[in-house]
Amino acid sequence: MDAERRKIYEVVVQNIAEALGLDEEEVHLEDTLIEDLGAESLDFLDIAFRLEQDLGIKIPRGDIQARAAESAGDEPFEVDGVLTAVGLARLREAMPEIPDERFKEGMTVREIPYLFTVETFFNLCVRLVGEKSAVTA
Amino acid sequence: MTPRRVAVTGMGLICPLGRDPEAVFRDMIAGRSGVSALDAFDTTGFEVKVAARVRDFDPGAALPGELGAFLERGLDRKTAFGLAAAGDALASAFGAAAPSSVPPARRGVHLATGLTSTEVPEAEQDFLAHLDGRGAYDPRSAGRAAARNDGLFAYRHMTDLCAALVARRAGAAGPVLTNHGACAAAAQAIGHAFHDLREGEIDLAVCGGFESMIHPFGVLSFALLGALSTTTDRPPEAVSRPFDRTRDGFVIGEGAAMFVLEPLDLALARGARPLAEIVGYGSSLDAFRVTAPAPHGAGAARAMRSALRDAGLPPEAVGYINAHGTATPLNDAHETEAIRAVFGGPGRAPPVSSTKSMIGHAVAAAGAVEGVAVVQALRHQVLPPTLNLRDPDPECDLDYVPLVGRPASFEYAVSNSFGFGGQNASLVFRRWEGPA
Amino acid sequence: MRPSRADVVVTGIGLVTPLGTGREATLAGWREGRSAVAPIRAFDASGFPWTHGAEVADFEPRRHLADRKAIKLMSRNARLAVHAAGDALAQAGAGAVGAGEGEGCGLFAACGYEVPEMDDVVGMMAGSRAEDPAGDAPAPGEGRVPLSLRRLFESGRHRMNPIDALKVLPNMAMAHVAITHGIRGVNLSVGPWGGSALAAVGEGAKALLRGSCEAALVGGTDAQVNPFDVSYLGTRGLLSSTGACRPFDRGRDGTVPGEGAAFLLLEGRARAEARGARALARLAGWGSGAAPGDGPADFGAPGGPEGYGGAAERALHRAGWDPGDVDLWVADGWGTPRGDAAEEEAARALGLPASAERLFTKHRLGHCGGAAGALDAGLAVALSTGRGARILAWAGDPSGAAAAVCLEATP
Repeated sequence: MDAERRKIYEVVVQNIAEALGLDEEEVHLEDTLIEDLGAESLDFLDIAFRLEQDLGIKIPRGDIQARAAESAGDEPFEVDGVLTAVGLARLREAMPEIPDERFKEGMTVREIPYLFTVETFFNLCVRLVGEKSAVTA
Repeated sequence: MTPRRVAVTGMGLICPLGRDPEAVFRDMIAGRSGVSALDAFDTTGFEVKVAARVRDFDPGAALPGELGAFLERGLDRKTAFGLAAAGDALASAFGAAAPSSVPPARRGVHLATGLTSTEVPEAEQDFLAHLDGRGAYDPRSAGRAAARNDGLFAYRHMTDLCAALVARRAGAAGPVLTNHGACAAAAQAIGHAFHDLREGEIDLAVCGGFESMIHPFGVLSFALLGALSTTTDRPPEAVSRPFDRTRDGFVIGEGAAMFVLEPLDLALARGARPLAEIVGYGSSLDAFRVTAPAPHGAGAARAMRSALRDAGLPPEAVGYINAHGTATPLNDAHETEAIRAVFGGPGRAPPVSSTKSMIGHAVAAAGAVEGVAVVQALRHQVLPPTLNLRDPDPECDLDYVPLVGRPASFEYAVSNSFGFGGQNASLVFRRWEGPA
Repeated sequence: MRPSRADVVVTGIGLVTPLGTGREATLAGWREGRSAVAPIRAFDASGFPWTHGAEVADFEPRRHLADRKAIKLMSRNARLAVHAAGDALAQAGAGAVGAGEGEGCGLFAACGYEVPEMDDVVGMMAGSRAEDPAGDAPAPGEGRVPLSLRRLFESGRHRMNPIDALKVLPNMAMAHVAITHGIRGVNLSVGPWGGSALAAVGEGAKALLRGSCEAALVGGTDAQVNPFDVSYLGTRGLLSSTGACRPFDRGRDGTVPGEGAAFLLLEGRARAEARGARALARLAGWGSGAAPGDGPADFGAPGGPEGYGGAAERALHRAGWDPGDVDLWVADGWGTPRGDAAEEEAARALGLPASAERLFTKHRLGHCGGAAGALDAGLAVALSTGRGARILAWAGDPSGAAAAVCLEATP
């Protein structure tokens, strides 16, 4: 891991730990935020805010889902809240850090946040920090 | 003491559809909306574009002369609403006469409101003026401002001023309380006044709620929590759409409503004309999350059951439910589930509607403003509609009286108010069937 | 198990006060004769004409609150309340909240104004100024500094953590007490005025008698040692400029801001006995009164003689006591010239006996706002349990509202 990624990793772990009232040793890359670390929807707002302040980035709300839906192009991403086969495939591509078996047929849009792991936030931050430096450069 | 029956003998209303309860209810039945473009301030860069605002309200003209000079010194908008509505309620109950036969100690005032106001002038005086060049807050600067004391700081922020002034106007020397139960506050205030009357603690109550948060920090605080609709591809009057599949949050409203309550026997003895009875009140706590309702609407269901038990009524006696129905995705689904649990599913539950579809969410005053709609529905035997419900949500499968009002024959109605933090309140009203 | 009027008892008292976090710490501080009134440490109060306060110095959120994650959502009002509620429930013992999911336990509380915490909003406010001042510019302090709505919406708002917006909702202390302690029954949250917490005690008692709940946690919470509340109380002419609160003293010139939370657990005697809980006192009576002032801006005398007197008359009547029966009078003792005089007048008019001991706290605890009445009454019961005293406690507010309770401490 290069220095930049190391720094982002530390910021992500520190902020997730603070937001969820945990010690940093209790936060691992593969932990899911909701089921493993006890996050609720409000905590996602909190974590996003903290990361934005510390990394100088802007995390659009619903970014992962929106990008996946966009990459589905003209094909429907969901029908009545249930992900289509195409939707599921795009979501999997958007979140390569999540084990395949977690993307279950019949999954609903509301269940997407249950997939998020610490690594999801790490990857998101790496990408957004990269895009920011690209703009500044 | 045998529990006494409690009559509503007066009401006052300030809401986005107007100030006359009769005209407002006619508008509701016709499916007219009080929601319009948010023009109270410049919304450039802000995602919230609509509000249900009270129009044509002049606090100075609406209030009697004794308060004129005081008002000019800066009475806040919500307090002005509250005083005006209380004045209307007392006038509708007693005309020009004073309620002189009731001893002052047996008159109570139970009001409800929300936050201390931070409107733009308050922000500029009480926060921005005390920031240094680096943006750090300097309490010494706040201290120097307080030392100069323009005499208004407290009045800009007091939430109990309205109750004190209403108590003075009503000559009340009994219980005088202001409820801070968030969106359930007004229903709580009315409920406690009702209990005090029923149980013989007092013989006259002025109760209700007043609220105004349609200012930048008020609207922003709800926007930060993601509670407000950000719809821009519909006309303003079509944005508030409770129980609709496409609902995306509430539309902020404002206003006040006040009731005069009296024991039925005393009211009839003095020749008053009851508008309705209040027969039950119940409340509950979710004890779940500070924002999300408890699973399956369990807290909301407990409040409704508690109110029915308090009224001594079976669920099937209820002919109409005025829902909390905010149009947030979570509230409407959970409230539906709660109603199903208490009253039964489609075909068994009574018709439900959300008047927030027309007047927005009056926050701490909601239970009072909606209480007026319920009293009018009982008097006229017409159900107010849920406006803009064109695309039913499969999760919301009850009869929501979509789009226009509907005649009905019913004796009892329930009004729900559920607050952030999981504080829930339900009231049961009864049609007055005696001589009108 | 609906109690009869004579059977409402107190089985738990929870206190977080400037004398200490917890009932025992408070009692120890009281018995040692300590005063917690001191120059304000919570912020630099040197610009204010009122520089003293009574702070809860030993309260540590991570030590005194079990749920670490919830702390970030709690204002100081909520933090103090959650601990005080737990203190009361612990003393009341196992089964205090009741069977099932806590739906039989009511919660009736007066909660302090949830004023924005400066740390939470300062970024947003600074980012919303119409013009950027020089980096070393002092705060102008005078008048208004213009706000730009465009900057507020485009940048300032992004400097505020959305979850901090939750802390300012007025019923959040209630919500956190309910969540932490699993209380799901009937409830009431009223504003933070002098008499509010005692009014909440009365509302809880009425709910028990009505059968709406089998136990009721009643009280209040208020953290007033912050620039907002000090400005609020000070500009209303209620604070001492000498920094010393001297109730009933000829030289008194106002109160000092305090902070704290106090809760009592109420239940029927039969329920308490069935659980093996000790009744600390019997709640014999309660009542409210109001004495609205005359002019539009006249809210000078806390309670007013009619407020205190009317509330006490109703509480005594319900208890079936004569004023001469009172052994211990828990006075309000704001230490303001008019307020204390109004109390003396009310006590005389009522006929409280000269032999009654008088207890007041604000010279040592400050005025703990919405918590005040319950705090004083709770302290009085805790000091009197075992002595069998008949206690009349009252509290009032400059807006004219007052409330009173009659408590008979267990011999």
